[in-house]
Amino acid sequence: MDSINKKGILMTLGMVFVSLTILAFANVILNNSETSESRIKEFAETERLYNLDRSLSSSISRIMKYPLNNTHKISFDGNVIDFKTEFQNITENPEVEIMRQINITNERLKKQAYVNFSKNYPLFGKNGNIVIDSSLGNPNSTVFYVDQNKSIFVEYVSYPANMIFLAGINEGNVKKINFTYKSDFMEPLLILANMSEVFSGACANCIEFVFNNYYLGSLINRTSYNISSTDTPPSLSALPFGIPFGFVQFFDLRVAAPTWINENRTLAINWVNLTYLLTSDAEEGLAITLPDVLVYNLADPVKTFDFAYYGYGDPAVKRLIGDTKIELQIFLEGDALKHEGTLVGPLSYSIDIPLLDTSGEGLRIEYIDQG
Amino acid sequence: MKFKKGIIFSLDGAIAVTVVLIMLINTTYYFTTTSKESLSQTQIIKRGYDVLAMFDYFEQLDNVMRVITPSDDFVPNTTINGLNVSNYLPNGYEMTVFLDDARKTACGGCVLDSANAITALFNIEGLNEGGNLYFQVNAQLTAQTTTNPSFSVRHNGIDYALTGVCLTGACTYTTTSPITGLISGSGNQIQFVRDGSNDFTINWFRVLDDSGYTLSTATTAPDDRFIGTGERWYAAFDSNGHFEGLHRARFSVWIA
Repeated sequence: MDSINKKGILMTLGMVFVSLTILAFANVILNNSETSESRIKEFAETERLYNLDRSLSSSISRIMKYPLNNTHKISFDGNVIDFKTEFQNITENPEVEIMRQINITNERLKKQAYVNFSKNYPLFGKNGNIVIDSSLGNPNSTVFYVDQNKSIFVEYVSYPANMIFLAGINEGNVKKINFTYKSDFMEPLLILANMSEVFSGACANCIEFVFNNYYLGSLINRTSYNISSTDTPPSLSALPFGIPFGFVQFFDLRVAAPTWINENRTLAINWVNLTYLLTSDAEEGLAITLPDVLVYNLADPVKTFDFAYYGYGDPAVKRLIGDTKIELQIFLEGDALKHEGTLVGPLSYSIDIPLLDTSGEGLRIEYIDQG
Repeated sequence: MKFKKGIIFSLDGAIAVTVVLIMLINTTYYFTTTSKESLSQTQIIKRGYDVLAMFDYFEQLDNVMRVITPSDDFVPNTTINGLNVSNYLPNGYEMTVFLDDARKTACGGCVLDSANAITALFNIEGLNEGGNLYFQVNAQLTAQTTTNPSFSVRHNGIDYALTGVCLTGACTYTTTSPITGLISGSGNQIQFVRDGSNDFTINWFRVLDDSGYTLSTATTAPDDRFIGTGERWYAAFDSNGHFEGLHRARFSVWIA
């Protein structure tokens, strides 16, 4: 009797032990399969996000490559940023068209791919820091950051402002800027340099600024100056016209056209400091504008950065005639061989989580630290 | 006493066997699940993404959108002016590509001029989902008298403006806002309305984001094996290089 009881207990214990062993194995397999399944889903989801991001980046690159070649073109080779554009009326139609198409795309993507261009439009986004006279409001602009140093960017403000803003440049990161003006309609005349801010002689710590002005295919003049960002007066009261933000005139390039009787118009190259605005993307840098920056909205002087010709209040007169090709070559400091960066757009769209950064040229993915 | 012990022993054994069986069933299930959702399946999907990326890289998606005519019921699967998946797909794989917004409805005799300020009513082909949807139209400007020539699309008495009109060639325009109240089926009618001074010939139109306007390559996916799917968006341009919007391409890929 005792022997039978012991055998029964042993058998029961044995079965419990075997069961527990199988249970333990099953648990391990269960955890493993669950982990494996979730990893596969994560992998598949990452693949989806990656392809979505790459296809959108590629699409933006193609929009820049084809339609925007008519309006502006930018490249970064070695340590030279090359930016070309035309200051002309005809850029208006393609730019407005692209803006509309991006608006439509934004609405459609929000519904279908959980993609939202809410951060900023990759092309012709609204500039929050600048106002182009009260009737036009904030202009549309396209920003190209230098990849390895996002404090430097080229901002192209589209028609009718016609402005190129070279932000974040200084004597420490840029050694030379080649400025080329070419027109068959508006003849470049005098270069008026503000000699209290600009040097024509030697300067130990300056950016060399070289004018190359062409008219009807012929070089009219080539002049070199030295400029320095530290020349910006720190005192607001010292600014011209009592304008309460950092604005210093460097050069005025007077241009004339046969149809303008006794009138010259001006392409201005000024130092503009927007850092007092305390917005995250406000910078100081060189602003190249046609027409000149001279008129300010006194009702809201802090945030206004108006454009008009000298003495021409009629908006219709602001229209340019013909086309003017502007090319800027910005030579960065340092060894060209060590510059392998690219130009990238600002954070422009989100695809659920994580947020993704898109590249203007080429394809790149960057997960944004949400902090 | 002996009898009671026997019952307890039997019950004990039965419970143990039940527990073991439950464990075995669970183990088998998860073994099966693991092998079913294996990494090899994600590799199949990856092949599909790669093929679609190649089509996009070589601008074939954009090109085929232009090539498709209103009489096409499928996306051409030719190497030239088509999507030939076998050019990029490894042996043993099969794939179907779906192009959203690819179908075109012909607009025969759609002319807007001084004699025709508004066109006749045209039926929109069968919509599957309907709703508030953007509308695209391809037109040729035949006589220009103003700086920004345009026309509009009328649905249920409401006129919808189109994006900017390009000045040369046949261009593709999109309504600046979705057309509201489109119903599923073929009960939707539209008209084109002249801007008063410019002349156009309208070639075709389509509704965006409705599966009724999706075309695919002809291959049909089987239903007895794993089918991988994915999507990609691409920028489309008309024959003049005029950017006309983004469209979605999707795929189904499987092992043959």
